[in-house]
Amino acid sequence: MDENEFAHDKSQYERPNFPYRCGRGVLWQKPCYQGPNLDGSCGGVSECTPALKGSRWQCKRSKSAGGACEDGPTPYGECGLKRTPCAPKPTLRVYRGRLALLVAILIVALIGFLQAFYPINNRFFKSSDLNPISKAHQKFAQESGCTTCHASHNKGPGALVKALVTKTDLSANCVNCHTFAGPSSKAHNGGIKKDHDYQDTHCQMCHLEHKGESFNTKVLTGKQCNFCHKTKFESFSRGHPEFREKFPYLKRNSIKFNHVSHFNKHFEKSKNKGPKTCTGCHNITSADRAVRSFGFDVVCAECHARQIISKNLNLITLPEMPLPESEEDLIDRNEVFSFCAGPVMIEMDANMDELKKRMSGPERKKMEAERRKMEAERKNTEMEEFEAVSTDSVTVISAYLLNLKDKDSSEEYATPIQELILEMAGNGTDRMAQLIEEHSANGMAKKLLAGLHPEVLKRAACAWALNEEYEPPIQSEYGGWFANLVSVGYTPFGHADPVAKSWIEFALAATAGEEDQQKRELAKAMQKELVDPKDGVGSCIKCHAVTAKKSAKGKEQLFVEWEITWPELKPFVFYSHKNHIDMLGVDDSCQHCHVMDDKAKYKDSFETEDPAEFVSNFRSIERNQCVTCHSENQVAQECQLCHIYHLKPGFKKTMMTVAKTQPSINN
Amino acid sequence: MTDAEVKRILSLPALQILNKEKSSVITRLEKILKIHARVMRYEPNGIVIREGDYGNSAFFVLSGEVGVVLGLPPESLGRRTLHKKNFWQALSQLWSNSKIPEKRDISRYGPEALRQRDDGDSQTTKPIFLQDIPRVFDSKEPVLLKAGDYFGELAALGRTPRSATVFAKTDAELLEIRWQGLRDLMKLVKGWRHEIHQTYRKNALKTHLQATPIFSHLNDQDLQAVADATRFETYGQFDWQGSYKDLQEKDSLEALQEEPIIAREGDFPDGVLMVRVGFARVTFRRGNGRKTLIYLGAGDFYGADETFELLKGKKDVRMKVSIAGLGYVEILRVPAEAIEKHVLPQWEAKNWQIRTIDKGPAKKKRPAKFRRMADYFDRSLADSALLEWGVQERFVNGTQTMLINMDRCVRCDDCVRACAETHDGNPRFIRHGKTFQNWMVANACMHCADPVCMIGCPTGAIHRTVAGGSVVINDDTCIGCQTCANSCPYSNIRMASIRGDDGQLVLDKQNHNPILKATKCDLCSDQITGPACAYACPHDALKRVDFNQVILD
Amino acid sequence: MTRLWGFGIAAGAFFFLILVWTLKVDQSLGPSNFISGWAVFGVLVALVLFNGRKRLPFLPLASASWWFYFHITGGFLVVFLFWLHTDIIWPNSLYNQALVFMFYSVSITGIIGLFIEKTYPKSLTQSGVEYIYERIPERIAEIRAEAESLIEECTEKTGSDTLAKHYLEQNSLYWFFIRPRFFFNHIFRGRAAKHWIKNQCSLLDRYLNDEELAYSKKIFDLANTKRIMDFHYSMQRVLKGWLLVHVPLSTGLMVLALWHFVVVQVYL
Repeated sequence: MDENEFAHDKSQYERPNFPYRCGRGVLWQKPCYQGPNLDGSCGGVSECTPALKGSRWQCKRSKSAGGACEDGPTPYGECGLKRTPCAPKPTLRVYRGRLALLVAILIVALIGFLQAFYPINNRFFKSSDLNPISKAHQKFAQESGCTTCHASHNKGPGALVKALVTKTDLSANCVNCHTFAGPSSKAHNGGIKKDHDYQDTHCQMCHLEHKGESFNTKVLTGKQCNFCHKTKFESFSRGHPEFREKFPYLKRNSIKFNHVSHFNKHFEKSKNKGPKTCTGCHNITSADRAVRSFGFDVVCAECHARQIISKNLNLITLPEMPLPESEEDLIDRNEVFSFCAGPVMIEMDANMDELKKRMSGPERKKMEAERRKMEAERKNTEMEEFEAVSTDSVTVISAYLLNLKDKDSSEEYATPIQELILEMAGNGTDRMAQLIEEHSANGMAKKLLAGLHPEVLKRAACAWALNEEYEPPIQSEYGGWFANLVSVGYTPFGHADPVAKSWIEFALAATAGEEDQQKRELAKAMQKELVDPKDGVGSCIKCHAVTAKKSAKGKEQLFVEWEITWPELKPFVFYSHKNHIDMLGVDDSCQHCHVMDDKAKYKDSFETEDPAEFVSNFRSIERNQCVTCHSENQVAQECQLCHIYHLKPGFKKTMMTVAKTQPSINN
Repeated sequence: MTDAEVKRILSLPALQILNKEKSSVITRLEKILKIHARVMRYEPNGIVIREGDYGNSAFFVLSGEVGVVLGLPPESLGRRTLHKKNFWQALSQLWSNSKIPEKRDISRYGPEALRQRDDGDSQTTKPIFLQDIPRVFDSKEPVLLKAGDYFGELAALGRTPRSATVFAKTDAELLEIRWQGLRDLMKLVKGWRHEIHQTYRKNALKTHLQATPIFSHLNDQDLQAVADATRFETYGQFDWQGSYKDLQEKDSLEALQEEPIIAREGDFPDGVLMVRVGFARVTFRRGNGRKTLIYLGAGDFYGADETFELLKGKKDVRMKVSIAGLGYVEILRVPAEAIEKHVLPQWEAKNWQIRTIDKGPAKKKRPAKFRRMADYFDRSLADSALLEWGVQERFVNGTQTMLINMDRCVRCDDCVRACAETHDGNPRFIRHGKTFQNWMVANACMHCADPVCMIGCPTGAIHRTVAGGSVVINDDTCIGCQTCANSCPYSNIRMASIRGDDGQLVLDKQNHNPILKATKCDLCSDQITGPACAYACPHDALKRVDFNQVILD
Repeated sequence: MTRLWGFGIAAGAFFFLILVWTLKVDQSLGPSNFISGWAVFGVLVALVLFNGRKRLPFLPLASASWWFYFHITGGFLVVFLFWLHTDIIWPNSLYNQALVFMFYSVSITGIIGLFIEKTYPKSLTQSGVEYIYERIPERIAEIRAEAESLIEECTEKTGSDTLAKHYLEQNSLYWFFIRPRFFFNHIFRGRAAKHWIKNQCSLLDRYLNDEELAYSKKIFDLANTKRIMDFHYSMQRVLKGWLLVHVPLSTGLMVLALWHFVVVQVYL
C-alpha cells in the first residue's frame, strides 16, 4: 500500500459523476489510468500517444500515470503497452436511473395498455376501491355504463385532460333520474325557511356509491343533519329537543268527537252499541302515518243518524197575525182564489225520486199506494171553513230574507209576510228564490231550495192565505221538504244531506262582510239557529267543527269542516302507526301513547272558530314516551327514522324507459 | 550563478556599497549570491512582481529602471476577478456543464498557457508582460526605482503579500535573491538589516500593534514607543513545507522536540509575545509529555497575563506554558519594561479586570471571544486530542479545512458531485485524507493562512481573492509548471491534463506533452451558495472549518 | 438535534392541521379525502424534490442537510397522512393494491435506508481505515498481485509449492483474493471472513517450515487487509445500493399516484 497514494502526482480526482467505470475494475482487476471514454468505450487501449522528438519516439505517459514507461514506444510510434479493450460498465447511479425510468415506463405503458384495450371493468383499472354500485342503481347504469354518472369515462385521453381542467359535478347526473319538489342543490330541496342561507349541497354529501351491491345508499347518520341544524345533540334519546306543546294534537279536529265522554258516558249507556277499543272506530289495517277511522255510516250512524233526521229546518211559518184594522188590510180572497184554484198537482219531486231510489221495492210500492189513497180522499172532501190561528212567530230565515226590523212585532212583519205568502200562493218558490239570491251568491237558491216543489209552497201559502186547513200532500218519513198548517220546513234525509249543508253554509256566509247593523243582527240570529249544535238543522254542528278561514277575497269567513281532515302532513317528518301497532300488538298499543285526559276541556275548543286554540282530550305525547323504547341499545333512534330529508322525492318518467326491467322502487 | 557572473555583479555600480565591506565578508557574500541569487533580465513592461503575490525573494536593481505601481486591475496581472454568478448563471450550470473531464476552451489561453515544458524546465519561465500598458500609465503614475535600489524584501522576509506591482520601465537587469540569501545578507551587512527593520517598523509594525487588542487603545506616542521597543525574532525554516513530509514520518514526541522553543515553561516572563507570521504551539507539561493547550496564529499574542501579574508585584511569576514554533514563525516580543511604561497605566486607567489566570474549573461555556488560555488547562485528553492532531498535521494552517465527520458520512459522494457540478463537471478535491478518530481532513484546499503554494508561482495565476481571501488559481494564466502543487504540503493541488472540445487531450505543439493545469478547490468563490460540498452534504458530516474554531468551540 | 426537533414539531403541526381540516370538512359533509389526498400528494412531491435538489447543488435552495431532515420527517409524516387518507389497510382492486404496495415499499425501504445510513458509517469508521469505493477494485487487484508475487517468491526461494498449491485450491486463497467475499456476512457485521482467514491459516501451518511460515504470515496479513477492504466494499455497496430499490420504487409510486390523481379528478 502506497502511503502517498493521494499525492498530487500519483492520484487523479475521483469522478463519481462520470457515468462509466472501467471494465477491468468491474472484474476486480487493476483499472487503467485513463478510464473509459465518455461514450462508454474503453479509453485505455494504449497508455499514451508517443511523440517524435528528433528521430526518436518518446513516451508521453503522464507522471501521475507512472511516468514514461520502461520499454518506450514501438519503432512505429505506437504505445508499447497496448491492451485489449475492456468493457466499461455503467455506474450504480446510472443503473439506478435506468431502473427508475424503466419502472416509470412500465407503469405508464401498463396503464395506457389497459386504458386502450380493456377500459371498462378491468381489475387493474378500477381506480378507487371500486366495489360494484348498489343494486338499485345497477339497473339504470346497464345501458350507458359508467358514463351514466362519469361523463368522461372511456372517452379517450382528450376527455381525461379536459376533465382535469374542468370541474365535474357528479350531483348533476343524479337529477337525470331523481326529482324533487325543489332544487336538488339546496338544503331540504329548498323546502325550509328562506332566511337560512345554507351552502349548496351535493348528493355525495350523504349518498355514497360504489360500496357494494347490497350497500344502502340511503343510510345516513346524524352527522349529515348536524352539519346544518344548530341544535346539535348526540342522539334522539340524548339531547333531541322536546316535542312541541300539545304534540301531536296541535290543531282542532274537523270532527268534534269527545273520546272521553264517548268512552266514559255514551258507550256505557248504549251498552253493546259502543266499541270496546280504539280499533272499533279506527282502521288499523290501513294504519300508516294516520290511523283513520271508519266513516260515519260505520262509526256514528248507529246513534247519530236518528238525531240528524229529527232536526228540521224551519223555512217559513205563518206567524201570528194582528187583527186587521180595516178591510183593506185583509187578503183579497178572490185574488187568492185566482191563484189557488185548480187542481193541486203535486208530483213526485226530485227528492222523492231520490227517496224512491233509496227505498226498497215493496216499501216504495206501499208508500205510493198510500199516496194515491190520500189523494183520492182529499178530492172527495169538500172545502170547509177553517179558522186557522197561528201562534207562531216569524222564522229566522224569513226575518233575514225579508229584512224584518223586529220579527217579534206583528205590526212590523204582518205586511211583508202577507205579501210573501201571497206571492208564494201566486208563484210558488219564485219569490223565495229571488229573496235568497238577493242575499247570497248566484245559484245558492237552487241549492237551498233543492227538492222543494213550488206547488208545495203554493198550496201551503194558499191554505194560509185562505185560512183553510192545510192538508199536506204527503209527510215523508224519510225527510225532505214538508208543509203543514203553519209552516214549511225541511227534514234532512240523513248524514251529509246536501240541502241542510247548504243552509248551514248559507247561514254562515250571511254574516260575512255584512255591514248593515240590522241585517247583521238578523243574519246572526239566523246563523245562531241553523248552526246550533243541538237544534240546528240536522244537528250537523254537533259534530262538525266550524272554523274561521280567510276566503279568497281576504275576508274572514266561517266554514264547516264537512270532511274529516287529518293533521297536516309535515314534509320532513315521518311516523308509522302500523309499525308500532305491529310491534306492540293491537289491543293496548294505542293507549301507550294516546292517553285520554278526563279533565281536558275538549268541548270548549269548538266554541271558537280558531282551530289552533285546541285542547285535546288526549294528553300530549312527550319525547320521553318515545325514548322508553327509542334509545341507546334499544330500538333504532337515528334521525332518519322519523325525519325525511328530501322534499317530495320522486323519479323522472324517462328513467323508466331506460330500464328494461322495472326496478322495485322502495321509496 | 557562476563565479564570473557574481564577480561581474559585484563590480556593478549598483552594488558598490557592498564593496566597502571587509574582504572576508565579500567572500561570504559571493558564496551567498552564488547559491541564493540569480540575475533576471526584463524587457520594458515585463512584470517583476505583482501586488498580492507571495514571494520568497527580494530584488536589487542592477541596471535600468523599474516602475512601482499600486492598485492595478487584477486582470492586467494575470488574475481573474471572480464574479459571483447570478441565479440564472448558476442554474445554467445544470445544462452547460461539460461531460468531458477537464475540458477547456483553448481559445481563451495565451500562448504561454498552452506550453508544457518538461519537468525541471519550469523555473526558466520567461517573464510575463504587463498588459494594456497605455491604460496603466494613464491611470497610475509609477514610482521609479533606479540602479542600487532594492525592493520586495519585506514581503520576502515577512511572508506577506507583495504590496505593489513592479515592472520594468526600460530594459532592466535585476538581481533576485532568495529569502535565505537575504537573511544571510542581513546578518552580514548591518546597514541593511537596520534599514530593513526600520522600514518595517515605520510602515507596518504600528498598524500591526494597533490591531492587537492589548495595544489597540494606546495613543500614537505610546504606540510608537512600544513599536520602537519591540524585538523581532524568527524561528524555524522558511521553507517548512519541504520538511513537512519528513516530519510526518517522525513520531509526535520527536517532532515536538524539533520544534524551536520561543518561550519555555517555568521561565521568567519577559514580555508579551505576538505572532506576526506562522503558527506557534502552546504546550504545558503533562506527565512525561507535553500537552498542547492551544496554538497561536498570526495576530495572536501570549504573555499578557503573566506580565501583568509580574508588573503588579506578584512574586515568583513563571511562564505557565511553553511556546514553540511550528514551521516558520516570526515573533514580535514586546519587553515587559515597555509594557510597564506605556501600557500598564492604560490598563489600570481602563479598569481592566485583573488578568490573572483563573484557578477555577474550566469555563467551557464562556463564549470563544472572551475565552482565555486558562479555560483550556483543564481540558481532558480526549477533548484536546483533535487539537493535538490538527497541530501535528499542520491543519491549523487552513482557514477552510474540509473536515468530515466519518461517523455521519454515508460515503454518498454528494459533496464530490456537487463540487463537479459547480466546476464544469470536474471535482476539485478527493474525498479522502488523513483520518483521526472519526474525523477526516479531505484532500481539499484548506485556503491556508500561510499559503506556501503561492510562493514561486511564475505567472501569478495562484492568488488570493481580494474579497474573501480564498486562494484561487487563474486557469487562463496557469502554465502547468506544478510549482504550487509541489509546494502544497497537503497534496491539495492537482495537475489536470486538459482536453479540448473533441474530448482529446490538449498537447503542447512542440513536444507533445499533455497540457497541465493546476486545479484545486476555489471555495466556490463564484457560486452563490458558498462551498457546494458543505452545502450538498445531507448529513451535516462535511464542514469547511477554521481548525482554530473547531478546536476552541 | 434542534433542527430535528424543529422538523418533528412542524411535521406534527402539519399533520394536526390536516387532521383538523379533514374532520372539519368531514363534518360539513365535504369530500374530506381530498384534503388528506392533496396533503399526501403534496408531501410526496416535496419528498421527491429532495432528489431534484441534489441535482441543483449550485442553487441556494437550502442546504442538503435541511432537505435531508425534511425528507426524513416528511417521510414519516406522509405515512401518517396516508393512513389518514386510506381507511382500509389492503384495498381490493389490483391498481390500488399496486399503489399501496408501492407506498409501503417506498416507506419501508426508506426506513431501512435511514437505519443503514445512521449505523453503517460508524462501523466503517471503527474499521480504522478508509477506502474510496471506486478504488476498491484497484486495491484488491494490488493486494492480489502482491499476494501472488509473495507466493511466487516463496516457491522460488523455498522450493516448496505447498503455499502455491494451497493458494490455487478450490475455495481457498485465490477464491478469496479474486474479488470481495463474504458480502452478506459483512453487511450484518458478521465475523465469517475473520474466521475463514484464521481457519485457512491454521490449516496450512502444520505443512510449512519457518521460512514458508514467514511468507504465509505476510499473505494472511494481506488477507486481513483485504478483509477490511471487503467489509468496506460490502457496507459501502449497501450504503449506495439501497437507493437502487428506494429510488425506482419512488418513481413508480409517483407515476401511480399521478394516475390516481388523474382518475380522481376525472371521476369525482
